[in-house]
Amino acid sequence: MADREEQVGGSQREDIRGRIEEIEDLPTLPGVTAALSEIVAERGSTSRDIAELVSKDPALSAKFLKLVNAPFYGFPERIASVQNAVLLVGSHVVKAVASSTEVYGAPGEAALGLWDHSLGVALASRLLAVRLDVMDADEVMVAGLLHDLGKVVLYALSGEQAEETYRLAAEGNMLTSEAERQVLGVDHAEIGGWSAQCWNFPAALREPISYHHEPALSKRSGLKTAIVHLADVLVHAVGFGDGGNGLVPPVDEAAWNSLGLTEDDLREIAERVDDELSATATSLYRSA
Amino acid sequence: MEETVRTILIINDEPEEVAGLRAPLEKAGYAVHEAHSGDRALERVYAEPPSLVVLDLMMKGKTGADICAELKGDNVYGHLPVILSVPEKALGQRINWETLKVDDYLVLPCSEKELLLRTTLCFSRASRDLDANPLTGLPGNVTIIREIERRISGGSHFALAYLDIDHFKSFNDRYGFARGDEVLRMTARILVNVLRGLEEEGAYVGHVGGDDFIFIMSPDNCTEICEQIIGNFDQIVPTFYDEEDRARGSILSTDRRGNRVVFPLMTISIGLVDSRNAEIAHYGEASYRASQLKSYAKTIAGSVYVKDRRK
Repeated sequence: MADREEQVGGSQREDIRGRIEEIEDLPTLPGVTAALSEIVAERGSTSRDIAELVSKDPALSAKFLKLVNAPFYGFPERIASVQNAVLLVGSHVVKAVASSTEVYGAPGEAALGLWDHSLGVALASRLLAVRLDVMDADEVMVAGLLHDLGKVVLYALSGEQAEETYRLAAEGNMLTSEAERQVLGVDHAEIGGWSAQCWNFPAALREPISYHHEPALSKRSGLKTAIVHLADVLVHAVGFGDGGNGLVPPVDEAAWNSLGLTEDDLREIAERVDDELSATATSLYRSA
Repeated sequence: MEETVRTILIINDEPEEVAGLRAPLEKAGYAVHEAHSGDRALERVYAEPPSLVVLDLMMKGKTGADICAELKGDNVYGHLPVILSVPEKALGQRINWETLKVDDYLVLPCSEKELLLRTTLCFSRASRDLDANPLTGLPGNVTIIREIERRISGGSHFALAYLDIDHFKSFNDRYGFARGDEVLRMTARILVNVLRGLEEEGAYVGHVGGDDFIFIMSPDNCTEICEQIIGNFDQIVPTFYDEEDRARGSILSTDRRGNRVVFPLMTISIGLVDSRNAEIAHYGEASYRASQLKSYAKTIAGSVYVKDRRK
């Protein structure tokens, strides 16, 4: 029986991995594309305006980073900032891609929660990076935004399966990753890592995505991975977004010690995330 | 040797024509994709560039000509070979090949043999080196000279900029030429996007060779363009260094005599000539003047442009 389950899990794993290559689009929330078309149509809007909006959306961010890091452009695995991706892709390409990005007709609470959580972790990662004087705080923010890339990808592959994992996590009172491994034979960190690799993301994004639950496994971007890990736990603890069940994943002790932060730092950052997040989440994700 | 499968994108809103093209191409081993509207087509090309495009002339909405202009006006996507499919009944229509910059055309309906011959010819022609710089896809010297002469003889005002990258050689020495090539492609992309983003009509970017580029624009907002280019370059270039050098803000190297030297991160120097200020009767004068100003710009630290003030 256990053997059989293993086999089913195994083949499904491979199936998911294979389907990542065939993904044509990462759908996003209707509010985001509405806001984007508005900016794009506005005369005098700059790449900076576009990038600012895109950097609040994990799906669009992933899409443009995938584009600019494709071998076609000639500098794969170099660009980890959304701002730079938008500049290098060019506003004419951004417009064309943005105007035809698919949207979820009626995003459920789980999807909205995922977007809230992603943005929360992005903001917290950025604040932590600034607090720790990391030189490229913007890239750390992108890593935070995309840490659950695997969940965004899973939604694009099968919304039903994504919802099923949330249901199981809620009913079985377990962490989402655990539910994912039961349903799919693989968790979102691994799916996200596969996607980041398949799309030639730089290590500074790949590692926080793959190892945000196990920061000790990071080889080249240890500091960034530790920051995103802590940001993820922090935002879970504050109770923001994520259609899960309020379970807070444990903090990795080595990562916590390596950062040298105090609990006061965390409290302050949590408050600031709270303020910024409520404003954006309601105006952007839940509009249109 | 195993080759990757070539993909062909058919852009056409007539289902019958699409089917007629698709079957023989697939049989010949190509991966065939379809787009049935102009907007969708551009998105498909941008998101997943095919090896070749078969574009229909007679599309509703965004026309074949529109799509072609979009693609060919872009240094990266512009080198995708495009075959224009023309329904027989549209053959009487005047087509201006100067503006419709396709690589070949095909009259529909056509035989399987002809379709496949045209396709292989198109691939083969695309791989032949034109004047374009193979690294960036930008026009090279022959075309640049022709362009400058055209503007001089046309009598219109223009600004000519000569750009080169400071400390590019030390970057190449430290990281190898493949990494240097990435920086050149990134630079080309910035130039194209800034000029295009400002909807600068008649703007032109060329790659002289190595780390030297030329761009031409109207004199009115040339300083704004240079400022944007500099801002974008300075923002992006640090990410092309390894973390350690990036954090230090310099690379350590040894000069020809074996002394240890510190090289700052790459910056750009631009020399800018306004055709209204300089008496320019010949392309040589224009490019000489611009490169002189560029040399002067290079004596100033950081990314700068120097503009000709002579009246």
